[in-house]
Amino acid sequence: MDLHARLEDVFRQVFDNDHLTLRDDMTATDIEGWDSVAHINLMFGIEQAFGVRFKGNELADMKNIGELKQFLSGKVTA
Amino acid sequence: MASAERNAPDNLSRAGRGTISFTSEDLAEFSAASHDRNPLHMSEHYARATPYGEPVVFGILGVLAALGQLPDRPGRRLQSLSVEFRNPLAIGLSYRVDVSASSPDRETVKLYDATRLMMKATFAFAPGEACTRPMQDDEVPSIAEARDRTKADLTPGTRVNGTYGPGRQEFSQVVDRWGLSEKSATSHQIATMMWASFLVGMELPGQRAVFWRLILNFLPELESHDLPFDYEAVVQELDERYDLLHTTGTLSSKQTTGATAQIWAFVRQDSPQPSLSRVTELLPPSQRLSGKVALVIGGSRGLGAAITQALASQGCTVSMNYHRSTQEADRVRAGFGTDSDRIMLLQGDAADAEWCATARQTLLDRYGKLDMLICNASPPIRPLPFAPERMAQFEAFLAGSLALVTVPMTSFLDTLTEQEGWSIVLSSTFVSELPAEFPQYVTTKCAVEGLVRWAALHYPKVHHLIVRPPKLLTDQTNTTMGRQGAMEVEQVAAALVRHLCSAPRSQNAEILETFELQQEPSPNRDPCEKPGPDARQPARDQPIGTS
Repeated sequence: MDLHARLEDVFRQVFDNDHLTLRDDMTATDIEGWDSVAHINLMFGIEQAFGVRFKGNELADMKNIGELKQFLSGKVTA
Repeated sequence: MASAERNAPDNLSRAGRGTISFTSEDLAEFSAASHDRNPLHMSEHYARATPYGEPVVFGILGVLAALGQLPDRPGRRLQSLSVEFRNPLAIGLSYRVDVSASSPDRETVKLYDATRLMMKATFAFAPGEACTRPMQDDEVPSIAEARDRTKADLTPGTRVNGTYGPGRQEFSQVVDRWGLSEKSATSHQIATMMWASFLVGMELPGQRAVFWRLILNFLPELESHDLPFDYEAVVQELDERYDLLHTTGTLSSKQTTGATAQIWAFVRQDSPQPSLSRVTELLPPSQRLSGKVALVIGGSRGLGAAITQALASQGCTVSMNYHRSTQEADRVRAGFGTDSDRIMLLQGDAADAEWCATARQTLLDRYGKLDMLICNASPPIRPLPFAPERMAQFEAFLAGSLALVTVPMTSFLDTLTEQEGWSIVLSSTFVSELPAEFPQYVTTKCAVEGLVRWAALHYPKVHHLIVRPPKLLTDQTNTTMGRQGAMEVEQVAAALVRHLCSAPRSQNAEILETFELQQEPSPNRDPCEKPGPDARQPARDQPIGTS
């Protein structure tokens, strides 16, 4: 499974939506249910799935899903 | 509080849909059975100073209710349980149940607040016999009050141990109430779930806990254990980024392990208290408002308390209204020491016209006038799905919240006209940010702003001011994520009072939405002069992050 599909799987679990499709230009406002509680679930879900650890609220500073994918691809291949 | 009426769990078709609700009696019964007496669930006074505003349902009670929704499973026994507590369950609300099976021995129960997922519990079963038999003995809890452990007390390796068994009579009542006797979970397994609640709510972390995740594995040896169980739990990690505690625990008897647990719980921080010293740091004391009389509706906590402090620090006489928070009101007043007579406490419901009439008379008798009315009070603000099944809650919030502005305004606008005084209403930047989870709050604040514009036209001698602070650090936002980017209430209060001192007259309703202040104004400088820029502004909009 490639990075995009793995990330999409995490998002589907966290947002309880089997039909959620990620696009690189998406932000929090594009995804229903992305509140502060979901944000923490998402951070932990990504950390667990990709074996990474965000510094503080690093995830919140990312511009969109594309930037998150770039971050993850750098960490995962490193 | 919720209706006391208690009904058996709704029948569930195999398709897996029904509803569940919880009453205060359910919580009391579960507390007596599990010995979990965490005040977040059992004390209205305690819960009021948390982000939830009122007692919430024990997470494990939600799990037991979910278990009761599963079909009977003869010849099977529960093997493991995995739970995600997404959001706390409220008393009196009806939650939609969704049951799905990923295999014949693995079922997931989800509880929804309309469309919002609140809890997800996955039960795994294996061949075996299960029966719920009555407890033989009435077990005494090893501790009677929830420990108050701060983050400093929760270093990795911190270990607790003791003995555990549920209350006999109440245990049977819980089993009957939620229809658990045929659900392939044994008495000892149900007792183990109650222990997890006890461990989190009373021991690790204890009083400050907000349950987040749980994994329980039940071993066959559990069934041969005698009660009470021996338990031991160890802190594995405290994740400082999110104040999240990871604990592992075991239940055993005669050195034989019967169940293991992995538990994650948030450790809530202290309730943020408005600080008079911080107010005076931002707004040096003066007598600029000496001789003025203000009434602050909802003045004992959060922003209201900081506004009370800021007004009184400038020599203003403040009547501070509060409804239930007597201790907090006393604390604000006591903070002024020998000048505490600047603050008069007015306890009561400001949404009640009769109370406002009495308060008006009291103020006129004592001071002969009112110069400023500040409407700051609000019912607790919790996420609310915009869905037909939540319209009763939506309308109740709207009515309750509006009345806390309309009733005081109708009672005091004529008095304010006589003094050419100020009518100040607290709104929010949410009127433009429009967050998805608070439609009731956005609607209320937009309505309130409309009323102020109307009042500005028809009560032209009064200065009308709408205050739109950003997200503030208060009891309501005192969560791991809520604190991030939240502005301190003292800054808003100081900026508001500075504005009252210096603002020119306006024919229209004015909007105050910038709260920049100089950090350390010179002592020789006019404390109410126009402020300069300040770096303490909320973080920039966060595209992925949420507030």
